[in-house]
Amino acid sequence: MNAATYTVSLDVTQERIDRYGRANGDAEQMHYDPIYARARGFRGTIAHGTMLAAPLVDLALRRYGPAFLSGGRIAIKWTAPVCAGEVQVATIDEAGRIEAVNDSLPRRPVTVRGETTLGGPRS
Amino acid sequence: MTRPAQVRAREDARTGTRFADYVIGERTGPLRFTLEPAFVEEYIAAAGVNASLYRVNGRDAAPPQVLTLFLMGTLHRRYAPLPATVMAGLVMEFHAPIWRDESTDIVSEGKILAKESRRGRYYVTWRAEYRREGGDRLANITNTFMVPS
Repeated sequence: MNAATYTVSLDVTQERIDRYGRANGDAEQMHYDPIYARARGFRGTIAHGTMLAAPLVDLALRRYGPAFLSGGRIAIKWTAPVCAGEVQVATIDEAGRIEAVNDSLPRRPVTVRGETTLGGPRS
Repeated sequence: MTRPAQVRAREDARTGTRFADYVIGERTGPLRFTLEPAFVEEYIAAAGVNASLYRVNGRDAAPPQVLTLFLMGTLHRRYAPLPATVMAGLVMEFHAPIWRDESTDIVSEGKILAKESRRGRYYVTWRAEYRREGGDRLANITNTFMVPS
């Protein structure tokens, strides 16, 4: 287990959203149609929440090592969208807390907050 | 190979499930699917994960968050989706590695845990449990999503 902090960056391009959507198999137009997305109050098409979450598990693996795959827990809440053309930067600290921000907006709003643990009570 | 599109329902305003229709305690599934190495590779490329991190005792494991692509399919066994449903929260607990170099037959079952309306928004929380077919637990995923109505 490591006491350092780790950071990961995700470029949210429309190409990546489309590619993820092909794998994910969903047809939700908020991800693909910018006119539809803007009509619903978004700046543009939005990344899938699970796509934003995917690299956060990478952070947990860096923090705890492969033991995380047999006893790890990650809990996250999405707090703001990331749109096509924007970048999410996520960090895990020494306590296993994760914070991801939209690095493309002036105030860098938090997009995901999370906690990770290894071992402990399981459901 | 099972692709998520084969096991999830399309969002439909006419047939999608509204908040009032979710029943706490009701079970969903089972959903059976096969996770194959080719699909894991597709997921790794699409999600941009660092696959080199997922190595256990010299063997490559699949990033277990690939299971999130099959998450809603388990729910859709019982509850069809509405358009504009938005993810709010996720808890993933990993129990055993899924190997990247072999096909894995998986069965998932779900249960509606809670419903909540706050500040004019409607939230449903449910859990999916994933097991190897006839074998050990792989993961649990507890998901909270916001339903538009």
